Amino acid sequence: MGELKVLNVGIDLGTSRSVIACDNGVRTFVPSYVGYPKDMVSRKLIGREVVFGDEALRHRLALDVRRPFEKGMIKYSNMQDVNPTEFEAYKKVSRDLLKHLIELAKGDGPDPVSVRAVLGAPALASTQNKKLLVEIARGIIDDVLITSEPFAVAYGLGILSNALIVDIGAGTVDLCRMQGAIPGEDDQITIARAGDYIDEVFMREIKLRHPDVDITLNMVKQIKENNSTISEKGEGVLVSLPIKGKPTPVDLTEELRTACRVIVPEVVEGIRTLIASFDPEFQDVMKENVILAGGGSQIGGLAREIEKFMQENLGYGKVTRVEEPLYAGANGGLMLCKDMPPEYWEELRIR
Amino acid sequence: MTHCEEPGADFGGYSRAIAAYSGLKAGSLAVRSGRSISRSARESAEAIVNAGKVMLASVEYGGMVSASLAIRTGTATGECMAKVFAPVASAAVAPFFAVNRVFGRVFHGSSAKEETLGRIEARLKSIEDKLDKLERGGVRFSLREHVETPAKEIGKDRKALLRALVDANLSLRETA
Repeated sequence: MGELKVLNVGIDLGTSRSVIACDNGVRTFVPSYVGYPKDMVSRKLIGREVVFGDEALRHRLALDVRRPFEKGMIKYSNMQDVNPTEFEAYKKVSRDLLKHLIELAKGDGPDPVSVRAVLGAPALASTQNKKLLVEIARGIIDDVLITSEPFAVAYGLGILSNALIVDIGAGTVDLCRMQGAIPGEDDQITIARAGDYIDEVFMREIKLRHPDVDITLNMVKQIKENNSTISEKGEGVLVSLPIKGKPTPVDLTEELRTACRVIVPEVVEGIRTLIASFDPEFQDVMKENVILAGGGSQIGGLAREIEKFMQENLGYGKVTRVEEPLYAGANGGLMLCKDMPPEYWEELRIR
Repeated sequence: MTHCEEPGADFGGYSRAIAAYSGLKAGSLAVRSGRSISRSARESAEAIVNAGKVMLASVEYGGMVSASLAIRTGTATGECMAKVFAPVASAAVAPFFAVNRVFGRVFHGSSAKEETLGRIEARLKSIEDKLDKLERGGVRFSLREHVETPAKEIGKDRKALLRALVDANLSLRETA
């Protein structure tokens, strides 16, 4: 180990995208899709045993495509006893994805390296789920540390006290109150309605108002990611969608706004809960430091909408968004990784 | 029968002759009139064509005179302007030429421009290649360039926070 160079890595294994940031300059993400060829013909066509991200989506008809994470955790991890086969299968999918990310980080370098990683988990992930993350990292990462995703964001920003981090992902919205110590259970809230729930509502609204439109959840996701806004001042969303095989322009402005707004009341309620239970002397400071991170924070007008709700419910609120919402968690993980003294890593070595 | 013939017989001959003469005369007149009309029409057409040619020539001449005047005026003005501004421009550009000459002498040989262009092209190509790689695989450097950075000095508070995080992870692993 002493001979090997150390590669420090911050990883955010997300429901929608898995992001990695390393101290060798690698900073990239892979959509969290893993595809396996369906048969010998597709294996011949694809030329590999497993494909990831956009490539898996492109060849999805020839592949068995899986998203390993749901609600921020490995699928079926809460139903291990009920469906052990599926759980083991998704554990393997998660391992494959993590292995792919580490290979991306290592690149084509000829020298072996020792990989140290900080993995982000949902704010209130169970002990069992966190242990699972350690387990899938075994054999891929040499030293691993699990931390709450919003804490990693706060650490990366250097804001460790009097701030409230709202990390909006696809599977969960994680809220974390920073007060200068490792956040406990009381300091964190995990909301299960996040980006994926917006997709579901958006799909439902489209089907309700345009029953003839042929659309898949994947198309809905694409439209949302390209146009998501809740601002009244935003441009209209006019999309060409197939109706009985013919591409037809469909106005989805109202449907998308309705869908994007569904997460706001719960997020504001979470903020209210964490602020109301905080030391009254510091509540005002915290109201001024609500920080949005994660892919979901890129919804246009979301910060303004949360501020509006905070003004109505809490009297005041100032919401800002991090500069790189997608990389905030991985960047924080990397910073943690680099700051950790070597002796601490020695204690954490996976045996 | 006497020598005198019947006047009726000659009268018929005269009449025929007069008729033939009149016919000939009328035909001749018609032909002459036709020729005259044709000639007049041709001459009129020629006159119109000639008038058009004269008009075109006049316009062309007018244009040439104008162009000539314009060119002469422009040349005269340009010469004046050049006389006025050439010394100013020359004085402004002179330091750059001087710098270029000095540095050119120091750093380049005779084909300095070609070498510079070649280097710029090679640099652009390498930048394009790098951009292409970045577009395909995100930001990534070779590990051969990886430099071990010395451990960052962290404060006591930060160290305590990290210690707590490590402890939480250790207890997580010890949990059955």
